[in-house]
Amino acid sequence: MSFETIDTSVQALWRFDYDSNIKQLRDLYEVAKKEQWNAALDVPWDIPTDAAVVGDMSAPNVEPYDFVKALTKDKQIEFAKRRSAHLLSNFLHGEQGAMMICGQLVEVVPDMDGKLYAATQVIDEARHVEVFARYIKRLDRVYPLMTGLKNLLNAVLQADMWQMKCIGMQVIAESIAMGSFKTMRAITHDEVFKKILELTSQDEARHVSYGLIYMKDAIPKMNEPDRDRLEDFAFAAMTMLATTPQMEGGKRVDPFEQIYLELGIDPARANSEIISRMADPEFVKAQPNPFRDYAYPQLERVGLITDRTRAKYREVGLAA
Amino acid sequence: MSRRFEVIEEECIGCSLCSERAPGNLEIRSGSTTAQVFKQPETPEEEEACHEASDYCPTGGLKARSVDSASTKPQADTGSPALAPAGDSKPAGIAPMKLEN
Repeated sequence: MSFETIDTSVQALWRFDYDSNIKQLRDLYEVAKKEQWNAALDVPWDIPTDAAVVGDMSAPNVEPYDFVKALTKDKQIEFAKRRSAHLLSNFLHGEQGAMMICGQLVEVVPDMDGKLYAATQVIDEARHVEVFARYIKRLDRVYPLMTGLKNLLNAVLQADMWQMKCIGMQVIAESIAMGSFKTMRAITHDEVFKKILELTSQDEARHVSYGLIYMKDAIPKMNEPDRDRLEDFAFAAMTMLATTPQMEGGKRVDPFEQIYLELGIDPARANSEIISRMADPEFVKAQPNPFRDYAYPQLERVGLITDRTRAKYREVGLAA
Repeated sequence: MSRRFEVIEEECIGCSLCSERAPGNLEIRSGSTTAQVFKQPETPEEEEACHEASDYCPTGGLKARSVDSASTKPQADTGSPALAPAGDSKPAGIAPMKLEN
């Protein structure tokens, strides 16, 4: 049994007036009820997964590295499969985090429409945990949660303002998931995985829409100090995941080292090739980046990119 | 001033939220993976529904363009001169559309 605990504290808010006060959220709640699906029945689990057509989810649009080309064909497929399992494991952990955060949203958001919709999202996230856990077993194993993602999820779980939870989860994390799923749908030729991504993407789209509706309504009503805190939280959340190196015990770690070693790849050679490509700004610019391409524009749409914060995003390469 | 709406195919993920909000104007045709505007809004109610669909489109892929008799005006803070998300513009006093079919 493997688990960890963190202490969180939320102020649960009761509403005793049950009429709708944010119509767009109530409409979204109606859509969410209509669009429910069953992870056990609506995915064609009877179709076997051919490892050769899954694709490498971790390396979209990337000309294979020399250290990958040097592997036999079978090992290249195994490498892609394991790296995909690694990435999907982090989505799996992220879905669990989302399930817990949405449970908090039901408690903390101040509007009945917000609570009703968030309740539907809890079951959406439960389905996502179910499908990703089941699919990853077809590829490899569940890998540990990466530090940056864990830091982000814990920061959102422990945030003391409901708007921070909404921005951190609904606007940033869900936009990243939505963008990443779109990229993965274009890479994979596995029918089962394609169906999973199609179904989960529809859910993620609603989750993002919830964040946009709610935050466009709430942010203009906030006082300046709280709004500044929210802007700073958004920036910290983006950089926690996008630009902070993976650290453990004060030491930088390579998330793929285990996979390299198991497949007989020299981690130093692999890293040197990757770092050399990443040093080319044109290469970095050409790569899909869900933070820059999806999360940042959403923060702009809800009004959280301001003169005070815009330059900071540019500095770390996250401004679209 | 009325607006024309357009789906940017590369940005659309076919989530169908827009066709739920504005069923009289937007749809995802059978076999297609992206939404399309099958009719530009002709009434204030339809325009309001399309605005909402654009404002809350999760990818920002449903764009609104001002249709001025003389020129096409740029929208605020989008970086795109003629085509932009409807943003926060909300025509006032128009009853929102129901989502139920």
